[in-house]
Amino acid sequence: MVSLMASIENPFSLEKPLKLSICYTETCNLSCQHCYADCSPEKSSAELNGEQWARFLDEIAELGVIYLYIEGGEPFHRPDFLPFLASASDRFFTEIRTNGTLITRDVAAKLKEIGVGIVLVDILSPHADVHDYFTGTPGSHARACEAVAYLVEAGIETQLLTILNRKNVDSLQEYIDMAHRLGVKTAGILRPYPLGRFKYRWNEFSLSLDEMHAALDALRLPAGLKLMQSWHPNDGNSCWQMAAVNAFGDSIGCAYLREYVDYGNIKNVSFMETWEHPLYRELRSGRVKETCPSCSSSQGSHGGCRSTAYAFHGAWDAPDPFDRTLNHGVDLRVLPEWLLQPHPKPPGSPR
Amino acid sequence: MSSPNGCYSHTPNLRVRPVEEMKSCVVFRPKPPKMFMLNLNAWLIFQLCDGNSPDHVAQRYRKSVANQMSEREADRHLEIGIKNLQDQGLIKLKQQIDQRRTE
Repeated sequence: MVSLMASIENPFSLEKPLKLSICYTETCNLSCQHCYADCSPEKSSAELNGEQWARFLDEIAELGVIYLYIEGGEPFHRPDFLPFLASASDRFFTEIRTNGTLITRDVAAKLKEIGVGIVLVDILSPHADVHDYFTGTPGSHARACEAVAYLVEAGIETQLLTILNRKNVDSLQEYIDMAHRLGVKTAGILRPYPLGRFKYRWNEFSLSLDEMHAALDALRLPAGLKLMQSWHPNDGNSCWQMAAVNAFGDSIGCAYLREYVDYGNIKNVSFMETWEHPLYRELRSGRVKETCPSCSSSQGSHGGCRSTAYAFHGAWDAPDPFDRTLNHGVDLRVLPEWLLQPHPKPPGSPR
Repeated sequence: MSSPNGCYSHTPNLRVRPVEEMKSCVVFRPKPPKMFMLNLNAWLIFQLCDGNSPDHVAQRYRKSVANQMSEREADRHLEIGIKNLQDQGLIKLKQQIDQRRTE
């Protein structure tokens, strides 16, 4: 049952960030059709350099940030990534999201020595041809699977990630079985976000909410394997605890808000100045129009993901249509037209 | 509860972030890497186990929780709390060298 209330807020609103995501680079050795960051092989001169990232680590350590999630682009594609990671892993619990193709046995051993917390490897399908179709790179599936084997062998907590879509929905059980075979303890199935290149391929890749739930409900988990998924009843409004900075230094709250918000650039202002941006404060408060009691209870937050709520409704306090109790007939296979712009703004909002 | 010699101390290089808003404390242990969220009780015990002898920790813990539980219950809670923190690698008991034995 959905409760309708005038104003619902998250129970917590942090005074200072606890966890922070960074997109270390927007370069990548692959050319994924679904890339949220629209990466390229060449590094833009506007990306933060190693020194700027190092200063930023000092700043957020001083603020009390304790968990650092690092993604890209492909972090390992930047030659200065390992020294950065070594410096970060002394002070933060580090999680790295990677396509895995640059992780050799030696790199895995180095990661173990550095003390990385968790490595998450994106594998789009149990079938090499489908994965390689997405990445545009023959052999990328085999290399990603090898990377997982090296990481597990090195004794690093390793997780698999996949983005649920039309090309892999029919082989989801095989994906779970592959994760188990590779020796990981957690497999993540992520919702698709209409960002970057993915939104321009939405018609080809997207599924209805019923199709997504049918696929998830049919899964049989092998003993010892944990499934991570964010659909009902696990749809959290994580904005209360999120902080994120992209490769250019823009403070964006969450990597999934990358096209919708800009709270200021850490090259010019302190991170805390961006943290106090009015919209950022508003999103952290978690004020929403509707909440799902089951998801609120399991996630300790209200209204579900703000990125997909905003994408489909153009309003920050709207219900998240990926939650089936809050969907109200929204067809997730159809994107609002305004989203198909580089920096999308819903109709009627100030430019 | 038993009172071994020595004093409790935090494992070196921990990073500690009190999160008052959530009535908890997050601790990062770098080697091997792991993050822990301590509830108020674990947080209190963790704070007490920073350079204090077991007897001193027990006295101060009993005093802190006196209006919530009996002394016996407090000792039981403390014993469990200390064991958990030791298992998590967040505190250790440094034994004092017995001078009479080494002379």
